[in-house]
Amino acid sequence: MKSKLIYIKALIIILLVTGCSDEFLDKQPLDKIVSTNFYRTQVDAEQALVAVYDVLQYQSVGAWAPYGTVQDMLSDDSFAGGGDANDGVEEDQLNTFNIPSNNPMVHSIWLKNYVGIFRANLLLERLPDIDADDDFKARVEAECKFLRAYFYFEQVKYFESIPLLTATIKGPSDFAQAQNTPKEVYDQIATDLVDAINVLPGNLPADELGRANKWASEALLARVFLFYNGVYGSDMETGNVTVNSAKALEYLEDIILSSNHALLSNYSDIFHIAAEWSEESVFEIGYGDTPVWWDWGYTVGGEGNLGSQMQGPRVTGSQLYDRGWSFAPVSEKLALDMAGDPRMISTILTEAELNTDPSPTYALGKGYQHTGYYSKKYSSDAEHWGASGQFELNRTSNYRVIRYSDVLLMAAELGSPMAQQYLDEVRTRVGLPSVAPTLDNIYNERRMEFALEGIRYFDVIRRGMAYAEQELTVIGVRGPNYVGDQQIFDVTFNPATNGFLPIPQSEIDLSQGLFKQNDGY
Amino acid sequence: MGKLSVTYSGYYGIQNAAHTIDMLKADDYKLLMNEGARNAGLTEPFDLNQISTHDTDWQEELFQKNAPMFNHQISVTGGSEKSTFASSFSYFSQQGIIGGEKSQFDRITARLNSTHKVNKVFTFGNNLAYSHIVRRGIASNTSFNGAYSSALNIDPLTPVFETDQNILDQPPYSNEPVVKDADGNVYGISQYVGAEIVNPLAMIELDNGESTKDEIVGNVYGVFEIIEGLKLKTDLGINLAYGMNDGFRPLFYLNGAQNNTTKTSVSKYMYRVVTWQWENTITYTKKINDHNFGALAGISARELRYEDLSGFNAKVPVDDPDNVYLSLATDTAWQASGGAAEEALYSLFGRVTYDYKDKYSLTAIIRRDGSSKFGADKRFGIFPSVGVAWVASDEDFLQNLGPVNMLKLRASWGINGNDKIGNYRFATTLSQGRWYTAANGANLGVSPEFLENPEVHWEESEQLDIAVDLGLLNNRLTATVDYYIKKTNGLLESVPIPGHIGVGPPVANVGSVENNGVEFSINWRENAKNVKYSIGINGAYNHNEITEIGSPIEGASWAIAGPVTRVEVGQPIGYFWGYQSDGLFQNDGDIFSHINSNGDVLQPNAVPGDVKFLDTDGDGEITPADRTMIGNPTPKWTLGLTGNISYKGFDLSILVTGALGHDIFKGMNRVDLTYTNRPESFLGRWTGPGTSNEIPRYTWADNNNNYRVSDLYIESGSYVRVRNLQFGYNLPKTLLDKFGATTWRFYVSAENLITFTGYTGSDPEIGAMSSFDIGIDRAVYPQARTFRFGTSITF
Repeated sequence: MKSKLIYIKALIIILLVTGCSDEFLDKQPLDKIVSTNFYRTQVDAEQALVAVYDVLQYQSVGAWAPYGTVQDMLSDDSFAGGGDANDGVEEDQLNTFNIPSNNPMVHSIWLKNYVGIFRANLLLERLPDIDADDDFKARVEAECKFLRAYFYFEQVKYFESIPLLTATIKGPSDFAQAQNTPKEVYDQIATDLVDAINVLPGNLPADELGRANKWASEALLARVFLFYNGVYGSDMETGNVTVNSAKALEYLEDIILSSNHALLSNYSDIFHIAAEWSEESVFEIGYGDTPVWWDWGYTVGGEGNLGSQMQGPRVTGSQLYDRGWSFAPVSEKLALDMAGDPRMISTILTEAELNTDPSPTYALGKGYQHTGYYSKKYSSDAEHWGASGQFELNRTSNYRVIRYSDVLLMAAELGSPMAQQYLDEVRTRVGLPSVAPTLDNIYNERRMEFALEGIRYFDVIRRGMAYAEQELTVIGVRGPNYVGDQQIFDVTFNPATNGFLPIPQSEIDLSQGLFKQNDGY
Repeated sequence: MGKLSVTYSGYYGIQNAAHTIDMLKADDYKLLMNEGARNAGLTEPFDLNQISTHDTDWQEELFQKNAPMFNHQISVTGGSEKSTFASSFSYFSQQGIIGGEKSQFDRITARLNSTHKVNKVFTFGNNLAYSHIVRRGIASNTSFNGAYSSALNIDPLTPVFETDQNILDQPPYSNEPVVKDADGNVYGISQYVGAEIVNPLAMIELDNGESTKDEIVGNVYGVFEIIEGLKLKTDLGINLAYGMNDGFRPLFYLNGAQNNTTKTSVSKYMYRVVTWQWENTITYTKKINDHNFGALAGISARELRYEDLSGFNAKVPVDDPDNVYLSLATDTAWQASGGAAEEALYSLFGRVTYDYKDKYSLTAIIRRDGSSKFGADKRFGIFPSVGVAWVASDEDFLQNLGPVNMLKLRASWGINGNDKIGNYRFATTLSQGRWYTAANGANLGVSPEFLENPEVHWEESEQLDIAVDLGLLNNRLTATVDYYIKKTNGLLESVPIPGHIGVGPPVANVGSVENNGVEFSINWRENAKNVKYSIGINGAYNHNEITEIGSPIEGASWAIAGPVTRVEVGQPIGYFWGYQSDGLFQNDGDIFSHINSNGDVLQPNAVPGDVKFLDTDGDGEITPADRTMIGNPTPKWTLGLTGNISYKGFDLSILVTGALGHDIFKGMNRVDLTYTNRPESFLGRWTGPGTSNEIPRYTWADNNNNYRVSDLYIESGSYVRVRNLQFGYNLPKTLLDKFGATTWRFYVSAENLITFTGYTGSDPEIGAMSSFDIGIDRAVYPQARTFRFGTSITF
């Protein structure tokens, strides 16, 4: 009997030892940080802010859809391109304005901007509890607002009817959101940018270049105004500021008068590495090759400029260019319009120029919609090759969002008393004579100055559908080096869409009936 | 020493593709492509008078002939009254019908089990198994990067190997790292079909991935019978697994879109998983007259720890792609990462059983499971179940049931829990990979990976069963009918959330699904003197319906068309969702009479030969809102038939299975791309009024969007398949005695011998890629038809 008691004691011990289950079951992530331990210190806030900036360089949330490349394909400056007709199916839908609502590139753009908006909103919500001084917090808050405005502007000018979220969504009961009116979105953009203008510093020290500052906020607000006013014919309202043409001009004049921004002396220098973060750059998105990137499955994690990869010529065996994918080949229409303009040689890369390649192994592959013209501003040129990694994913060319010449031309367009001088300044740099600062001359100058920089399409749209139809419908224009049936180069704009993209179908499907498709789709 | 028994069993088999799809030959292909271009107003690409240099049957080239598989196993059992042991060793090897040794699976296992009775009170035993697995695989059922998908879609004009020197002297052959086989033959590259469609044999040639796993599973246990009927058992198990994946990316050029032209790279991934489990139970059984009582209480704890390490670098000089190691890499791109994870499960459970003469019986179980997968407040689930049974035929008042000799009624109810999700999904983990480059260089950024969901909790399935078992004619005929309702609440899934949320979806308890149905089986058994036979059929009818979901959600995507399945209340899980068609427009009159109530033409872009789509929501337009239920991927009926007959030493058995009443989304043909090849059935396309009402005209400018997701992709998936047929012979005892064997059997068998189906793809058994991705055929490999010869002998 005694021995049996021992067994029973043993059983009780076993039950007790294994009984403290709560501690045993409490497993926390070992190789990752969790949100409950973050958003505390100034360093945490800086890292969370970098994550918001990170989305600026996103070009492929799913399908590859670099901002500049997509915008050029939509414009009359570029076609779809790619290796063959199958390679560029989605791009061709954009180029020809036969855009089904399930086009993956359209969805990619939509997703990208909301990732940026989420990260900005999240940091704005967490900022009050972060242990840092008020000046620091005020600046981070203003940068978040700048970035939120940046993402909203890109979203609203592509999609028009979008939900406006200024706080993060916490759970399933808030998943479904209705679309806001364009006015509500634009007023929020104006509010955020005015707040940023009031808080952010102007000239930045060299090691802070790339962060949003007062000048970038002012210039972006002027660009937003010109688009909004052009499309909707009205002004934007913040709580206490009406952003009208006078106000927009006032911001631009502030940059011209008070900032250290200036034009580079040579137009041909702008798109080189030496001119990154230069005095001409009012806002610029950074791309690079650090950390070196290999992962084709998660390209937004890398820092390379995918637009440069897409737009580069299909060159092999060269020391000057390497293996682009020949998307967004440049149109004969742009080449004709730029003929005689000194900026053409810095804008359009021609087949003839490529063929002067000294390498004996040089070969040029001709892809779909081969025109013999490529973008020279963002390309697969040797200067911007990454030092390591998968070369397609590590191209280092920064994307120039707003250049100082844009500030000058926007100020001239808004009727600055100095309009003549501003327009002359832009033209003089490239050795062109003075012309009167009429709207037509200013619009033409914008076309020449900013060709293939992701500006043209929305410059056309903001001048109304009649003008858009006149410019964007291009039939029967054929260059000497075009390859393929003429029909694949003919584009008919669809004014029923007002120039907006379709709301992505899967977003409509997930909206519980709240999202309405845009007109024309 | 007791009796020792040694058994060898083994087989050798050959496998072949059971079914391939007849694709267009070169001449028909060229004719069709010209038609597609012509209908789009484009220049016809082919001169039909020119004889094709090649007419490649890609499936013929792709599938291995007689891919081998074999298994050898030796087992030894023996022991005495005090101790028994069983040990075995086996080696299994199988090559794939696609890829041969590039898709080989090898497994070696060894086992040693023993039990020892120490004294009246104490017994202990142990089990130990070791396995070694090497796996090389080729992806199946994928629109992108699948070898079979490429074989079905690449043109027949491209040769497997390019041999024309004039072509080899031109780009891309002359200036790109084109793929060659071991003998230096250069794989052909299509001039027509590009993007994700490549020469499938070249693609397989590049496949160098290999994963290996070594696993030791063992446990020791002890049982103490303290007093009669009271047993204490403690069981400690350990599972130790080491694995590694090797990857090597050579230089290659498959086409303009798929190539790696500058740097080779090598990667290695290694992991270790240790799991221990300790279970302690106490059981007590007591018999008082005709009453049998039993009780069990137990406690179980399990903990798993996982650690991994991976490395990557580029520029590897290569002689042998099967022997590439990180240390050979010469680039400076060293990358390493590693992590760890832990999970734990802790359970308390109890069970009581009672029966009276086996006539009335009751089992009741309750368990409380705690899982580390859930947050502190949601960790525990309580799962009860109860079952009762009544053998009615044992009642005195039910003794005259005619041919019925056994009648049993059963009922049970219970709840099960499921915690099969990733670790830590209750917490918001942050990514430290949000880099941004500014003038000061690269800056590290941090943001969440998923939307927070601390509420995630156990998924629970509640099931009610009512069943009748019947035995007739002295149990020669037996039958069972079982009716069940199973409600699963709190389905654990990560489902798409609206993009405006701006962060990845959480794993959440997203809804409920109900399955109900009837299962039955009938078996007839006859044991005559020399002939024994049995035949059985079983069937199940199941109805599946989503009963709760936050809002309708997208299921699976196909190619670039976006979602093609949907999850919605009142519909079967993952149903196919698309446009409904109503034949083809035969002429202009058909187009102009397809109008809404205002008289507007619904499909103004259509021309004769295009598909007529229905305005299912009646809003007067054909819009995405017209997409509707076009098919159910889940079978309504599953059926099985077994038969055995033996005569003296010979025996024959058959197994037939089938599934009926479900649909397949036939998406292996990339109709969204130009120049892709088509099945021969496509020759029956519309070419003029009355030529077809199912297959639209062929055009490269599809302004009517004929190939939008619609019921044109849906086919019935019903099938009946002879899964196994085996003929065996057992040597007679008289012969065996001569060399001391106790049994010796030879057999030949055929697996997947015949399939009856109307499905026109390569195999009707598609399976599921995930809960909401069921029955989408993105080029599923046909299952192999296997013939095996085997033997087993015991001494």
